[in-house]
Amino acid sequence: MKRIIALILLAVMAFSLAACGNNGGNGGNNGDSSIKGNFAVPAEGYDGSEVTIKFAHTMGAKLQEVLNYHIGEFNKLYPNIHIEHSSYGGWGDIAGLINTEIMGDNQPNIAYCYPDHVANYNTAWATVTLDELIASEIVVTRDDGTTEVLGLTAEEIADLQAGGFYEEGMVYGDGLMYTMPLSKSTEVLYYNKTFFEENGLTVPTTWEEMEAVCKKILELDPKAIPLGYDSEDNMFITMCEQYGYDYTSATGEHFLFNNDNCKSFVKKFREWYQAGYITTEALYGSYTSGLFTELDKGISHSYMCVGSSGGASYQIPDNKAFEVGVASIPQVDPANPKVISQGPSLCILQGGKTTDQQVVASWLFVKYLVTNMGFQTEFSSTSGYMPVIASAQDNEAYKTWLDKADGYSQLTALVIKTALQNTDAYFTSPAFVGSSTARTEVGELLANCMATQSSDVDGLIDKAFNEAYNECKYHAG
Amino acid sequence: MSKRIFALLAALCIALGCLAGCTNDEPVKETEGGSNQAEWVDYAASIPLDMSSETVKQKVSVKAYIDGDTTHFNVPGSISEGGLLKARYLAVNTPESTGKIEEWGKKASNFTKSRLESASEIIIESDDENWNVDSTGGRHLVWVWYKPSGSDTYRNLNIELLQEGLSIASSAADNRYGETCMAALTQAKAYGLHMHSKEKDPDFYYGDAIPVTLKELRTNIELYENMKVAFEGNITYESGQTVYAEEYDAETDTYYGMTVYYGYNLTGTGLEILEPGNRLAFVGSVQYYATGGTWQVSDIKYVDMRPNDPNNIQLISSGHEAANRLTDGKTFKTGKVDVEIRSELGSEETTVETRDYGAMVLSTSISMENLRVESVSTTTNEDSSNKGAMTLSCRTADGYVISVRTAVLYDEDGQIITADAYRGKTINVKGIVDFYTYSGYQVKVFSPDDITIVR
Repeated sequence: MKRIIALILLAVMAFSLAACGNNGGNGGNNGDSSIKGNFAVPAEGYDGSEVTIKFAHTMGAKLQEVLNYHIGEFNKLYPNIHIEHSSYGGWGDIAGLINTEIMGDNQPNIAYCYPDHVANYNTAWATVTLDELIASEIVVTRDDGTTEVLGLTAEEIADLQAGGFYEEGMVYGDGLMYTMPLSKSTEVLYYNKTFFEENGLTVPTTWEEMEAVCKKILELDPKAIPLGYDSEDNMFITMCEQYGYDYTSATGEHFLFNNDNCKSFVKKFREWYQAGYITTEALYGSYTSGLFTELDKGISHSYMCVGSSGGASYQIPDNKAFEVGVASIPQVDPANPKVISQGPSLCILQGGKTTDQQVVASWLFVKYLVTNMGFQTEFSSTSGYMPVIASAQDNEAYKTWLDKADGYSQLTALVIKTALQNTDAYFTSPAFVGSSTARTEVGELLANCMATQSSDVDGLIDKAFNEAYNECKYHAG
Repeated sequence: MSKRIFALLAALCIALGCLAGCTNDEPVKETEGGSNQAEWVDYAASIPLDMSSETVKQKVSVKAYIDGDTTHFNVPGSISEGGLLKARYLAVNTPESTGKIEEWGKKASNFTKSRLESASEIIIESDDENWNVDSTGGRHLVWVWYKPSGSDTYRNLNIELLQEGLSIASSAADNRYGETCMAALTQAKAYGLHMHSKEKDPDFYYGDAIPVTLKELRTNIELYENMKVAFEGNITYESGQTVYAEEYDAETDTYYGMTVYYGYNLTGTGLEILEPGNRLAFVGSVQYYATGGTWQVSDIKYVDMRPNDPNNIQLISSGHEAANRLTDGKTFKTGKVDVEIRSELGSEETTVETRDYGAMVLSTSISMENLRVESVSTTTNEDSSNKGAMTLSCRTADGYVISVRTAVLYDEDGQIITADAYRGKTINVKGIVDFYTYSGYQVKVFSPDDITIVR
C-alpha cells in the first residue's frame, strides 16, 4: 500500500507542477546546478508581506501553551507572519494525514516529523531542502528594528552541532538537509534508588551486569519482574547499534537485520523473559512505568524501567514512596556507548500553491523554534525532552532548574541532566521508504520470540526473522 | 518510466481529482475552510455493523459518561469483572474536559453524551477477535455503535466524532475502520468544523483568571463552571495527583475547601510546591467531575522557565497545618447552614439559601472521634486502581452512621492493610470531607497514620 501511495504522490506532484503551469509555487532551482537542493532563496529574502503559515504537530495541550506563548514572541519580530497550528494526532496519524494532504496540494507549511515520514514525503518532492536557506546571508529586518541573517550563522550551526542532533537532517542518502531538530528524547534507565541502596545493589552499566542484578532482585523479591523495557523496537535497534550488527541501510539492500548476530541477542532476551527478569509494553499489556510505580508488592511490580526521557512524570510513585534514580542504559561496550535519539524534527513542505514567501517565512519560524533560547529551555522543562542547542546548558534559568534535579518531584530535571551527558552516544537509523515498517517488524518479532512457547527455539527465531524480513520487503516493494 | 505506467498513473491521478486545483468542470460545495470540497458524506453511517464478523461485540448500557472519548458501560461479568467496562474509543482523541479543560472538550463530551443518552441501542465492538485494553491496562479499546431513537441503522460514534471535527485522530489509520476514519477527519478539516474552524469554542473560557476566595467559590460554584479562577488556600492533603486546599472564613467561622487535580502534566517546581502545609496561590479552571459528582479545579500549571508568569501556581508560605476540624455525627449528617447565593456572576445581589453543612465544607480537612466500625467493604475489582481501598461503615458517638472511605493503605512492609485491621474497632480519623453518590458525605482518609485505633 505504501508503495502505491508513494507512486501516487510522485505522480500527483508531477501533474500538479505540469498542469498548474508553475514551478511548484516556489523558486525551485530552475535547473540551476549551483543551487544546492530544490529551493533557491529569493533575492529579497523575506519581503515583510502578510503570510499565513500552517504548522502541523502532535503536541498536547501543555506544549501548545508553550508554543502559543512563543508564537506571540515571534510575532513581536515578524507581525506579518501568521502561524496557524494544529495537532494532527499521534505520530502514525500525522504522516498519514499529511500524505493525504499532499495528494490534494493542501499540506501544511511546517510539520513535526520523523525521518521515516520525510522519506515518504520526499518521494513526492514535497519536502523543501534547507541547504540554501541555512547558507543564506541575506539580512532580514525585524519589526523591532533589529536585523538577523536569514540563514544560520556559523555560531548557530556550531551550537546545533554541539547539541548532537544537527546532522540528523541529512540521513536521506543524498547529502541534502531536509529537517531541523526541534527537541530530542532518548531512553534512560529509571531505577528504584531506595530499594537499590537498602539492598546494596549496584546500578548496572553493562547487559551482563543487568542480568546479574535482575537475578539478585528476584532472590530478594520473587514476586518482582526486575526490569521493564517499554519499546521492543528500540530495544532491538539499540542492540544492533551497540553490538555493531547490521539493521538497515538507506541505500542498496535496505533490510539487513535477518542475520545470526541479531538472532543471538534475541535469543538472550528470550531467556531473560522466560526467567522472569524482564517484560515489555507489548508483553505486559501496558506501559511498564506502571510496574515501576506499583506500590503493592503483592502483585507484579518492577525495580527498573528503560523508558523515554520524555516520560519522567509517569515514573514518579505516589506520595514519594521511593526515590527514583536515573542512569544511562546499559551498554555492550561502555567505552563505545550507543543510545537511541528520538523526538520531533521540523520539515518545511511545498506544493503547487506554495509561494516563496511562505517557504521563507516558514524557515524564519523554524529557525526561531530551533535556536531561540527561551523556547528551547521552556519546551525542554515542560516536555522532558532535551534542547537541541548546546548553549541551553549555560542558560542561567535552565541551569537553576537543572540544579533542582532530584529523584522525586524534580525527576524531569534529573532525567534531562542524565540525558545531556550522553549526547556523544546518540544514534539514529537510516531513513528510507520502509524504514518505519522495519522498526515495527523487529519490535514485533522480538516480543514474539521472547514470549512464544516452543520446543524448537532456534526454529521459532528463524521463522520470526524470515517473516519480518518478508513483511518489510513486501511493504517496500 | 514507460509510457504505459505513466498513463496509468495519470488515470489514477484524474480519478483522485488531483487536477481539481487547476481545472474544475463540476460545481462543488465551497467549504468553510475555503477549499473546494465534494458533497458531504455521512461517514458515520457509511459502514454497516457486521454482526457476523470475527470481532467481539456486546450490547451495553451506560454506567457513566466521562468525556468525549471515554464512557463507562455496564457489561456482563464474563467480559469485565464487576460488570463495569471502562471504554476508551478507538481511533479518536477528543479534547480534555475532565482533568483539564481544552477547547472543544466540553462540546465533544456533550456530543458523545447526547448521542448515547438518546440511543435506543448501544453496541461496543473490539477491533479484532479479542477485547483489548489500552496502554494503561485499565480501559478497553472499542468501537461504539449506537442506534438513534427511531432508526434501524447503527451509526459509528468514533467516526462521527472525527466527522464532526470534535476529535483528532489517534492511530486512526491502523484500525479496522481506519480508511473511513481518515476520510471523515479529512472531510471535517476541509469543511472547517469545530476544532478545525477558526471559531472560538463557546464553552471554553478564554478570559483572564477571576480572583475569588474559596468561600465565594464553594458557595457559588456553578457560576464559575469552566472558568479560570485564582484563589489562595492551604494544602491539607495530597493523594492520587490531587491536592485539597482550604481557607478559614472568620465571618462564618467555617473552613471552605476545593479539590485541585493536577494529573501527570505537572513536574518540577510546580509538583514540588504542591505539598501539604504549603499555602499556594492557585490559578486553574473550574469543572464538574461527573463521575465523582463533585467539583474540582484543574489545569494548573507552573512554567519553570517563566517563574513570574501570572498563570503559574505560586508558593506563598509554608508550615500551615490542616485544620482537621473536629465534627460530630449530627452536624456532619444533618447540619444545615444559611449561605448567601449570588444570582449571577459578578452580581452583588444575593439571596439566602439553606444548604447542607456537608456541601459547604466539601474538600476541607476534618476529624471525627470515637467512631465504631460496624462493617467494612473492600474494593476487589481487579481492574480498579482502588483495589484494596475500604469503606468503613461507622457509628458516631452521637448515633449517626457515616462512611469513612480509605485510599489503598499500606503497612510498613508494603502490604495492603485489610478490613480485619479495623472491623469492630473504635477509631479516630482525620481526612477530607468527600461526597459519594451512593453514601452521601463521607470522610476520605489517605494514610494509616490518619486512623487511630482507640479500642
